[in-house]
Amino acid sequence: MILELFTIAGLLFVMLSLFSGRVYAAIILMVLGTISLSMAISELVGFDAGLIIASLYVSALIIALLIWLIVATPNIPKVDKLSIASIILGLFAFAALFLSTQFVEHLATPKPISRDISFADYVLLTILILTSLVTSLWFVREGG
Amino acid sequence: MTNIVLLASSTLILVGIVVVAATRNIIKIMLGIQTMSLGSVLMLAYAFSQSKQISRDVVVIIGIATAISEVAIMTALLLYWFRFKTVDTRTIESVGG
Repeated sequence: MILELFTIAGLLFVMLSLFSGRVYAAIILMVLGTISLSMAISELVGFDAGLIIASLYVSALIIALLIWLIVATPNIPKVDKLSIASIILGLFAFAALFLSTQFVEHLATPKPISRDISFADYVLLTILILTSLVTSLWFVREGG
Repeated sequence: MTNIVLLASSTLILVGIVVVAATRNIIKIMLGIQTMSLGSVLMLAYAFSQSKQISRDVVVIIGIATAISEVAIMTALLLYWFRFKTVDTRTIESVGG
């Protein structure tokens, strides 16, 4: 029951965040939603995974809040054909998703490949971090 | 009752896609991408929990990777601001050097 509670609370916070008019309120609501969803993840796969995900995402959002304080510009809402089409298609997709999850019988059970973490995984993670760092530094240098 | 988790994670992914497609503010686009990654991590955690296997390391690595991509987006956001002095993607004609 706690899992469903955290999931629904996180979903509500995230929805409020995404459809909030003010950007700083959106970021703060997204922090709350991220923490709730991380609690749900920790209920599912262990507290350390939820803790790490929450800390990483929330720290990124705090940086985003600081950036927004630097670059704050007036938000000019504009409704064009693309926005309306995307919202309508999203509603259709949500209806299809709701109907399929509630009324279609699940035939396949999720079963990921099980193996322990190896040295190669840490090497790949290090390569990923180094690539991101070098690329970001290159971006910053080229951007002046 | 556990279908709520599946439904919520799928909804997060869908809403993230809609927000990325509909908004023009680059910070909102970043929030939409974070929503999608949160939904996918939640769905993956649900799948792992259903398989009754210990998988927290995998979820941690995926969480770290998505957080790194988010930091890269924020770097691009700052460069966007420094070059164009706006975060509205409608005003940009070209991002080429």
